[in-house]
Formats: sequence, C-alpha cells, structure tokens
Amino acid sequence: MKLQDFRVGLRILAKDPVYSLVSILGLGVGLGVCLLLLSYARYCWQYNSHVPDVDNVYIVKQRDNLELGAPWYDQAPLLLLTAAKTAPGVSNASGYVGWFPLTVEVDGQLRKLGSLTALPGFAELMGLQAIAGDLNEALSRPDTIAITESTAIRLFGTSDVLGKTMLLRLSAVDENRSTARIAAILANPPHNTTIPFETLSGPHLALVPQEMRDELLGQSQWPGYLLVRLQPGASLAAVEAVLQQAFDQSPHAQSIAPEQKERLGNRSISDIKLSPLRDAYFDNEVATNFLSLPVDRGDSTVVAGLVAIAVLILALAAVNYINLTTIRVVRRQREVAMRKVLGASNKRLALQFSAESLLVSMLATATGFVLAWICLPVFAELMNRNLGSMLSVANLGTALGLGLILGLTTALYPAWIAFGVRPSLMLMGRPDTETLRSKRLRQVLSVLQVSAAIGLASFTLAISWQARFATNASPGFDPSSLAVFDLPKGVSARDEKARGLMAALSQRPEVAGIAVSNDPVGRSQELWSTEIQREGREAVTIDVKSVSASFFEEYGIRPTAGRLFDPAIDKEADAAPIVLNALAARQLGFSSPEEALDQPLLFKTVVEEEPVVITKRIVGIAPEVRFYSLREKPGAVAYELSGSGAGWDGTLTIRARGSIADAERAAREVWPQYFPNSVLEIKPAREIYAANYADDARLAKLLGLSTAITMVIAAFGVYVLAADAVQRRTKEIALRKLFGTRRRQIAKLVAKEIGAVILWSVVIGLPLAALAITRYLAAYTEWSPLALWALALAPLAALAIAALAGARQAWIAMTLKPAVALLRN
Amino acid sequence: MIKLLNTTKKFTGGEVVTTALNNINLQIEAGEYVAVTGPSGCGKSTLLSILGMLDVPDGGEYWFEGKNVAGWSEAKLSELRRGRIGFIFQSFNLIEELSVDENVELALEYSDVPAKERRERAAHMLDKLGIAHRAKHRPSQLSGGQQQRVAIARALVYKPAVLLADEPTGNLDTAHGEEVMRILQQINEEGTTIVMVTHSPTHAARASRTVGLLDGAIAEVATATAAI
Repeated sequence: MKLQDFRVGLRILAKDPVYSLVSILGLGVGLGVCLLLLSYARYCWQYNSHVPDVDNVYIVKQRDNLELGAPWYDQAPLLLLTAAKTAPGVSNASGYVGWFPLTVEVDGQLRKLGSLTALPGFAELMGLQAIAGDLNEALSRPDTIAITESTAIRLFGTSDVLGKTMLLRLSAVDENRSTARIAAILANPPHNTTIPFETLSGPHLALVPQEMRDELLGQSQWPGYLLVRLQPGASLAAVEAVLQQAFDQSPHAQSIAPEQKERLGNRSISDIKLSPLRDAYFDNEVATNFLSLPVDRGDSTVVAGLVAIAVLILALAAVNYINLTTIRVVRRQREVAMRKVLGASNKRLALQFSAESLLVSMLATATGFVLAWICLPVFAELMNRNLGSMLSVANLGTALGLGLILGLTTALYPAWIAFGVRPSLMLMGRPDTETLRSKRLRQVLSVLQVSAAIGLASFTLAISWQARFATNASPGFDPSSLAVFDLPKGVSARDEKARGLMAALSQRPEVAGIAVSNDPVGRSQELWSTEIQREGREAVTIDVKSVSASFFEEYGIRPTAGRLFDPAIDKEADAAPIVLNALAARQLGFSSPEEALDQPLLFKTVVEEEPVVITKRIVGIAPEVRFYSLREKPGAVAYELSGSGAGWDGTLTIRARGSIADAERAAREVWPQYFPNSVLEIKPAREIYAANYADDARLAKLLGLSTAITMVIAAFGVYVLAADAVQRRTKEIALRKLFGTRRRQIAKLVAKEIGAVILWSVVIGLPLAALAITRYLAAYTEWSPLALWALALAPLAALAIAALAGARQAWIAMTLKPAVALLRN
Repeated sequence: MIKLLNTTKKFTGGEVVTTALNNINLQIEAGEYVAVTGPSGCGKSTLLSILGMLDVPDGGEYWFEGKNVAGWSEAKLSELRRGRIGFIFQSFNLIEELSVDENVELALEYSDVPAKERRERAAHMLDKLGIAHRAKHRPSQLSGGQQQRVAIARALVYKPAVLLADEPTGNLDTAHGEEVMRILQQINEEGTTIVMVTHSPTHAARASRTVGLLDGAIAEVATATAAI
C-alpha cells in the first residue's frame, strides 16, 4: 500500500462530494450504531468484572421449599458464612447487608444514601482500597464510615472530605441518628455492578441497633448477600453440599413441624446453591423481597439480540458501501485497464483498492465514533443505564479494529471485479460493462438489505404495540386519581406515626381517601402466601394481600359476588372476613362465586410469631386486579384486612380529590412531620405497573431507531439499484420510446426491477419476523390484537419507501430524451 | 523484432463465433513505423491488442524479440510488456485522479523505479513534449492535444522498444492531430518502433509501411513509396 493510493482515494472522495458523503455517512452511521450496541453488550457482559478473580466468586442463593413454587433469592442466612469460610476449596468468604436505608442531612436537606453494611472480609474479597484514609478503620469502628468519591462530591461538592462528620439517620425513628466520621474515601464502583454502594460501614456502626448487630455477627437466620471465592479447581458441588449441610443442621431447619417435615419428604426446608457472581446481572431466576437491594438486571437474550442487530446494521451499511463501490469500480474499469497496461499486478491493484476502502472506513470510523459520542446520552436514557464511561479507550480500539476489518473486507469484491478487467476490451473503445453475476450479486445484496429492514420493522412494530397494549391494559381499576408511596422501611400502617400520617393526610382537602396494602398493584416485593383449606378438602397455597377496609372503595373496585371490605362494616383488626378472587374460589372447589359466599375457610397464619390455623369467612368475590405483569398468568388471590393478619402493610395509596400533583404535594408537606429521617418517594399508581413494561418500551424505542437506520440504508440500496438499472437500460428505454412506448410503461419497467427486490425481501424477511414476533409474544399471557398486523404493515412501509426511493429514477427514465441518450451510447 | 505467424483470434458471443484475425503473418523490424488501416470491425484493434500482449492469440505464433510468447500467462506477458511496450489510445485514458506528472510517473512506479528517478524522468519527458508547465494540472484541465501529449509522455517515459498507437488522433481536431503526428514521427526518428492504427490515409502515409486489414486478414501491404 502506497501513500499515492491514499492520495488517489482522497481525490476520488473530493471529486464527488455527494457520493463521498453517502459512503462515509452510511458506513459511519452503521459503525456508530454498531459501536454503541456492541459497547453496551460488552458493558452488560462485564458486570462485576471489577471484582478480583471474579470467575471464582459465587453468590449464595436460597429457595424456600416449604412454600410451593417459591423463587430463588440471592440472599441466604448469615449463619452459612462460618460454614463457607471453613469449607474445603473456599479461599475467601464474606458478604454484605443492605437492610436499612441510610439518610444524611446536608444543608437542611435529607439525602438518601445507597449504603451497605460490610461483613468482615468484604473489602478484601471485593479488592476495595481506600483512595484516602483507612478503610479498615472505617469499617471497624462504631463512629466511622467510608464514602465513595462521587458521593462525597454529590453531598459536599468536593472529594476532600476525609475526617468530616455526617449526621446519619436511620429509618423512621428519631432516636436512630448519630454522627459518623468519614474515615476512608473509596473509588466509585463501576456502574456495571450488582453490588452498588455509596457508603460502606461495618456492623459495629453505632447506628446499627444492638439486636441487629448480634444478628449480623452471630449464627443467625437473617438473610444477607453472601459471597464465596473458590480456589482454582475446587469443586462447586462440594462447597454447595457443605453449605446445604450447615443449613440443614441449623436450629431453624431442625425446628419445623412434623407435618411440614412429612410434606417435604427427602427435600431440605431450603435449597442452597452457588451462582457465579459474573452472571448475576443476567440471573433472572432471582426474585426480590423487601430486603432486596435495588440492582440492575438484564436479559441475556435481549443483549444477544442487540448484538445481532448491531452486526446486521453494520453488515447492511457495508453492503451499501460495497454496492456503491462496485458501481464505481465498474465505471473505473478503463482506469484499471490502463493501470494493468502500465504493469500493475493484481496484488498491486488489490492493495490500491484496499487503501481506498481503508480510507473511507477510517473516516467512517471517526464519524461513527463522533456520532456514538453525541448519541450516548440519549442511548443511555433509552437503556436506562449510566453509560458515561462506556466509550472507553478499549472500545475506541475495538471501533478502529472494526473499521480496519470493514475496510479490508469491503475492498475484496471491488478488487475482485478489478482483477477481471480485460484491458484489450476496455481500452479499445468498448463501453464499460458489468458481468451478469456481478449484477445478480448486487441485487441479492439489495434483497438482503430490504428483507432485513422489513423483518426488523415488523418486529419493532409488534414490540411497540405489545408494550403499549400491556402498559394501557386495565389493571382492574381506574388509576388516574391514585398515588402510591411506601412507609419508611420497617414501619407498619399500624404504627402510631403511620396512623398519625394517615389522619393528617385525610384532613387535607387535596386527598379524598387513603388505603393500605402490602404492595402497590403491579409490584411484588412483599409477597405473602399461605395455605387455605376448605373443611375436608386439600389445602391450596394462595397469595394473600393485606389491605385496609377502605382499599376496594378507594380503588373503585366492585364485587363480582357478595361484598368487598367496607370501612362502614369491617374493623381493621377483624381477622374473620376474607375476600377471594374468582380464581381462588375455583381453586378452593367452589363451582361459582355465589357458592363461595359466606363459606368458612381454614387459614394458616402467624400470631405472635407462632403458626396457627384460624377460620375465616368469605364475604365476597373480587374481580381480577393486575398485581402481576401480563407476562404472568393471573393467580389465585385472597384479601385479608391488614390490621388483622401476618402480612406486611407498608404501602399507602391516596386518592386525589383533584389532580394527583396536588395530592402528592400535600403528602410531601405532611410527611416530614412524621418521618423526618426518611425521604418520601411517591408515584402515580399507573407508573408502578407501567414499570413492568418499561424495558419493553425502551427496547421498542431502540429498535425503532435501528429500524429507521435500516430503512434508510435499504432505501438507499433501492435508490442505487434503480439508478443502476436506469443507467444500464438507458439505450433500451430510448429505443422503446422511439417505438412509441408510453411513460407509464417506462415507469412499469423501473417498478418491475424494484418490485422483484421487494417481493423477494418479503419472502425472506417476513417468516423470520413472524418467528421472532411469536417467540417474543410467547412471554405474554395476553397479546395485543394489533401485534401480528405488523407483518402486513412493515412490507407496506417498505414498499412505500422503495417507491419513494425509486421515484426519482423512474422520473429520469420517463423523461429521457431518446436522441440524446442514443447519441451518448 | 515482432513476428506473427498464422496468428488467429476468435471471439465467441453466445452461439456466434467471430473471427477477428485470420492467419495473420506479419513481421515488423526494429525502428519501423507501421500504420495499420482498414474499415471498422476489420480487426485492427485486436491486432494491436495482440501485439501489445493485452490479449492472446487462439492460434499461431507471436515472436517478440526472439521469444514465442503465444501461450504465456497473463502475469508473464505483463512482466515482458512492462518497460518494453508503450501504448497510446484514441481516448487518451489518462487517470483523472492523478496530476499530469503523476500520470507519467505511474508507468515507472509499476516498474519499481525509485521515486527520485521517476520524478526526474517524468519531468524530462514532459519537458520534451512541451507540457512541463502543465505538470501539476489534472487531465481534464488540458486540451485534447495536450492530453494526448501527456499520454505519449507516459508511454515513452520508460523508453519502450515499441510504441503501439490506437487511433491517436481520433479525438483531436486537425491541428492537434497534426501536432501528435509530428511528435510520433520524431519519436520514430529517434529509434522507437511504432505501430499505429488509423483511419486516416494522410496519417497512414507518414508511416514507413502500411498494412491494410479486411475481415481479419491482411489485404495489402504498402511501403511509403510503393504498394506490394
């Protein structure tokens, strides 16, 4: 490759700015999108990779076998830590707990902190080192704390905060406040971690109540996040067996009732297993509970899909570039022939075309990188991740490598055409020609472009419609005037302060009513299920919702049969009444909702920490309320009064008299009087269940953008194809015109060329799209009635775009002057 | 220097076979100036392609400087052609992306001549052909006559033994055509063998010998003084 080759490449680009712009921008957009998507995939795949020797680090998971169909949790009893530390093959074990939301007051404003309590050995296992100060001291003293650099800046405007004291507050109790000195500054954990924190403290922190400290440091059942590092080559199964045995021998496991033991058979009360920390981000079998830390979870299929889209877009952009270059090389055949006459070998020609192609691909890489950089904030918002550091030097290197490979690859075909140029034909006055095979290949490439666009457009439309359908699906009540918030961690609606808050809120004119529940509709964090039984029949495990007597009234839910809870009739502490949904009634063996009314049920619950069976009476049947997303089948649900049962009741719903915003403002004004140590997080009820489909909506937007790019590339491919067809058939068109062919027929001629491409694209693209759509929809229990119409609409859109792209060339063909065309040819 | 013995060339287009050259026997001595004439489609350009080793004959022999090159591979022919045969064409075939001097240097670049020497030789040749002042221009900025002079400079820069010219004045007006013919004459007088395809009897008359082709065969051969 010689400098001269690059110089010629530059002159070619400068000679035809439109062509150059299209080539570089087309390839640049493809590379930019590809860079963003691949970098994102890399970001996802590298979750927790900052942990030293992460491939040997495992998280201990637990599943309760007493409850039918119970999920896995990534928390396990802390008592397992001692067993883990001494298990053969384990080099290191520690853990952390995120049991309390710490708040700090800065400039009179309460700020919530993402705080973790680090168990002994956590810093070592995580490879944490202080940038300043002493981390060991920060985690071992009752009055010290470690803080990350960015949190220091967020709170104090500087990272130079070593030795500064903070007034820390804990939960809702006024007494739970103490000062802590910042004894260590830590580097910010990377954004792609499932162990995020802003502050770290040890279990000896004065703010931690003594009984909790005992739990954290003793052989307790309290669940925490346990991490185990195995020695290279150690047996995972052996360590799991040791942990399982430790659990089975714990007092808790030994103390289960004989009937429970009988029911479990050979199974343990809980299963224990180890999962790689590296895979934690994609671990979707893990459920959340009230102790779960809010961490990112991703879907490996979605990430793999994004990688496929990235490669597809890049391939389409490359095809586009190859198409353009091929046409150009066909027109440069004389030059190639002349170079051959002057002694250029095939190797020399290949190097020349590689240089020209590399020049374009490198310019495109630079363009792509700039585009990716510009689009990164929008992309980060779409993906709902902090991707600020995503365009790293390593990713820039990847982009350059990608551009290099692309440049060399896209040079292959044009170089191949150049090899076939015969100087004797080219230079002796014969017109430039292209072989039939070359033409066919370009048509095939165009078909691939358009079929990809059609396939992607169909899939995107289906996802968008489904996401919209799911978000707008009726939750079983009208959420438009409801706002929801949680009481501070550990505070029940039965507590005095909570009751005070509710009383104060009910006095506000902006608030029309208040209801209590264990979870907002659409979120399942405080799951509580129990065995319910009709006399003489099999027990059924049913989800129980603890709600206040006012719940159904405030949510505007009407009974299917009988009555629902009614504040005028029911007392909050009355354990007797129970409301079922129709499915629960059916599962309990009632043939109709009416048959279930007034029937007694044996209800297993906990009273003063002792399991008991009480009798409840069915007062009514409630309609279906969407506590779960459309991805889950509706389940059996029983409602009990929140003041009477074992279920948690920490969620309040307020019904606005006017606008939700006014009601929210009222709540914000009242809140600090009762919970000055906690930050109120209030949301419209609609947002809670819409959050279940937020990822789908974001994915649909991302796919929408990808589809738009693919469509533009495909449209350009069609344009180039049409332009080439018209130019190739100029003589034929001129002759047809001479013989009296009408404009409409000429237009038909061009349409036929494009139509064939669209037809083949539909044949290839639609079955693939149908497959993808049905696989995507299979995850849902209800489908949007529009979802499959995407398969019809996308080809129509492609046809319209193709028609638009081909219109100019059709017009050129229609208005061609035969005399001029024939003289030129 | 050049000898064709029973040289034949056929082209196949679908089921139709066209005989472009039919048993051509022709000998050209070093320093000769041969004009090839004949009507369109008689095989003039095909003959020139074979003489220039841009194409290979289907039958017969082609002797170039004592070697029978018939049946040689394209790479081997390219090797032999490089530096020995120069070409000029009716449509100049200059590369638009290269400046005048770069076009001329290109011929030497493929022969791996060092850059400095390339520049010197190209400058000398352009000077000799009177277009040194246009060295940094692009071909499209020159007149037709100037472009053909650049093409001649490019063909001559590696001092070929033979210069093959295919209708070198075909795209030029009379004045520029005459100018090119004068240059060719001068080149021939300096010792370069020239084979020129032309339609113009006037231009053909400047050659020392005229070969007339008809339907792929030599119809007549005439020297500058008498027809044979």
